[in-house]
Amino acid sequence: MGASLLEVRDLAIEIADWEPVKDVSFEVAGGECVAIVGETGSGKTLTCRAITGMLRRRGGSVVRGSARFDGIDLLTLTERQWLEVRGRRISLVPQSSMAGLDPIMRVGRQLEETIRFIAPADDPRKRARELLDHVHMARADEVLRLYPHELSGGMRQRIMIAFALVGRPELIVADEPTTALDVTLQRNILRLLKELQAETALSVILVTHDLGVVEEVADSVTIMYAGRVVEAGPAAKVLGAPAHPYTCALLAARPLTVGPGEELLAIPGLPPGPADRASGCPFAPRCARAQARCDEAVPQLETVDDLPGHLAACWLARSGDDAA
Amino acid sequence: MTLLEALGVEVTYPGQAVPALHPLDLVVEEGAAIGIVGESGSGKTTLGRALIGALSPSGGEVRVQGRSWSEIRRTDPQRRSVQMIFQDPYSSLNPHMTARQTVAEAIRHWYGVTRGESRRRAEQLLADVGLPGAAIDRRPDRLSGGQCQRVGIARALACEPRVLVADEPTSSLDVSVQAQILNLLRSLRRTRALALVVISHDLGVIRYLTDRAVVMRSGAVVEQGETERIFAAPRHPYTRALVDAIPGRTGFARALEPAPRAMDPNP
Amino acid sequence: MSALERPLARLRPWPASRWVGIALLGSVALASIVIPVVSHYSTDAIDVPLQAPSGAHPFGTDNVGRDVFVRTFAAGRIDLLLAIVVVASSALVGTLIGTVAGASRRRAVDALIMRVVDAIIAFPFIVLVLGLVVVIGPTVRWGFIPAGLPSTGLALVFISWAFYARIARAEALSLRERDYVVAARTLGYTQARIVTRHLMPSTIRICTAFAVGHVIVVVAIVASLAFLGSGVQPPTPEWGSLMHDGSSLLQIAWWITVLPGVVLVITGLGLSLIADSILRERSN
Repeated sequence: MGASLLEVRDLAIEIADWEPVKDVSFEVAGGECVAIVGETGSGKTLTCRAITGMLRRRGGSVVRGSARFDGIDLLTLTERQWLEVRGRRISLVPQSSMAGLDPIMRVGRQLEETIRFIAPADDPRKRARELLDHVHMARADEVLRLYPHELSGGMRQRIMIAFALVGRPELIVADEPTTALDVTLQRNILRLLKELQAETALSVILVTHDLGVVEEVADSVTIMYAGRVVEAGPAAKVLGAPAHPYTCALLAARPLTVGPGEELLAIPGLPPGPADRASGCPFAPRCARAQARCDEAVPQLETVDDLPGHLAACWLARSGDDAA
Repeated sequence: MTLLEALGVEVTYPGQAVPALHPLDLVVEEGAAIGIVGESGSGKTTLGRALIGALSPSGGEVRVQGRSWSEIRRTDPQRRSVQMIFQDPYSSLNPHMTARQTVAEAIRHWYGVTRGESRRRAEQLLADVGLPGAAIDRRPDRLSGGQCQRVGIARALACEPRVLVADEPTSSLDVSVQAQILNLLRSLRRTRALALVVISHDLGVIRYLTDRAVVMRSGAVVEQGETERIFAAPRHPYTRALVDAIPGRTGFARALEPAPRAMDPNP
Repeated sequence: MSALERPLARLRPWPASRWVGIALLGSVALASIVIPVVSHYSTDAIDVPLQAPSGAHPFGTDNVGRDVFVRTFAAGRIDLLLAIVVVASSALVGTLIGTVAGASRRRAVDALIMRVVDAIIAFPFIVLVLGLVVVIGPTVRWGFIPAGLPSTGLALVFISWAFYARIARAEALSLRERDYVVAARTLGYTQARIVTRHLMPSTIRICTAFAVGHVIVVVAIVASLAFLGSGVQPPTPEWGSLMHDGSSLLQIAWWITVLPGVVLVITGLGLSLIADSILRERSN
């Protein structure tokens, strides 16, 4: 794994007088797969929109922080400059795979047009076939002649990945790429992403709410809650020895973690919305271990147990600090 | 006692050559919890709609306490004895009615009590399913997904059903909220002596809530048996593929010692 | 709408164009309520004929010396009130009929209602209105309601409901398979309850953009009918008849025609800005 390809520092986003993303920092190294995990309203999707230049279309704006991609400050790019980056160096795989396709144009023609626009090839048709082979699409010639509505969910998601690969990008941002898919297909798509990542030294940001998916493919993971990063680090460390109570609770809340007859440990309450503006740790109201100081100030991300790279934002996770 | 029974139920939608559901038998006894597992196109949702009497099968019949849906009238007690919990918590509620109105309507409809009495009972029922008091007079657009799901459950309970059919009850909820709803369904089964039919693609949900399970594919049953057995030792290759495909099934699943102590299950 | 955008939609303010529309329409409505009450002149008080606009007569006087300003806004009362009554009653009747058709599980009921709707919509609107006005009798009056109003209003409602029925039926068809409507059936609710409590609040809402646009059409048609002489009868002031009275004097007393016309245009512009912003919001 190389040096850091994308470095996001203290990113804060504002929408209609509300800050749904606050001081988010994370890094993506060359060839790395980073999972961003969070629930509804955690700010994970907005963070991705900010680093793909799609935030303004939704009425949001970056109020603080930076996002440097290979020396480029992504947050100051104009729409025209984005044309040079989006699709060519950073690609997006959306969640709803119908959204990106023109319903009345054959898949092949759409792919060829994208090839002509993004990365002209001598023979766009041949390149389109190559891309479908690349994403292991069976019967590629046949598929190129189909209309989007004739594709199954799994095929569409493969096609969307093929579209993302047109410009041979260095980074793919996949926003819940498998949420709408059946479990058996989900596994295939995840494998494909993993394989592409290994083959072409591609970096992947995988946005998901499913910790199982993280375990399956991610090298490192950033857990977000209420617009903040609460825990981050190598996936095996974070999932194997979680330091933040929220991460622990998420892992314990999965029905597969309990044996027959045991009760699930649900997290009480709800994630905060635009109206909740607490001054302390955002998870404190739902946290079983919360103490007085948790409501007073927001804990910063700090190294856990002197393990480099494993960070948590919790007063109780600090090494040596937690007498209890 | 048999509460709900599918006898050779078969569904073919108009204009379609392939049946959405091949002839299928299913028996729901008092207090049972049955899972129906399948992916999209497996016919599990069609089966659910047939079970609650919202869809008349093209062959066979569904019986509620011995009477076929085709004979049951709107005002018969059998009509209220089978209720459903839906997948999308928002579209399962009338967007123009508050939580309390939604539940009170069902109470007044069946028990003819006064407006005040139905409102009071609705309030009690919503508290029983864990809706915060502040949310009781809100419309769905001001409730979270989990809260909407609770309102849907309270509405179903309002007419004191015997069987609850839950179609993907947690798949559109956040992980932290899923567990709350799963626990609620499980405790309702105990406290209200409800039989459950849980329809889901998520084997974890099926395993947590049910004793027996039916695995469906392309409108037909491929395997059935005790849930724990299906999960531990699947016989049909498709079931095995489903079990294997659960992401992150291995590894950290039980490696969470600090968390259980930290999280009090009954705060 | 995604779960994220749900809270955001509530934070989003109304667009400026809607506020402009409300301001334009509101000022005409307010003037129509206030000016006939506070003005020094009544609608049929006579002064020197054909005076140009001045401080005493902001819109001048007509060929018999009546104040055009007060007559314009007295007409605004009649026109806006008639439009509101027509739109409200046809919207209510139309959505009810359309929702019943869409929600009905009996094909024949739906088919019958929709054939009637198609038949009404197939005719040219204004021709049908004119025909109905003649059938009802253009000079019919009910109690204190001025001559021409009942026939114009009834004719418009008789035809307009069909448009609402068509919109409401389409919405009801898509709603009837919604989970909450399925739930209502499994709870054993009556069809009447499902239609009125569970479907109509949504079908009526879908019709609001059309209803605002419909107000423009009704105002224009009422004015056109009066202009043609078969609508609201003189001496009751009405925008169309005011403009008609002035049209022959356009070259010597432009204000009699043009100034009421400007008020009519402002009203129409305000309404269309509102309708447009509702449609835009919905298509987002």
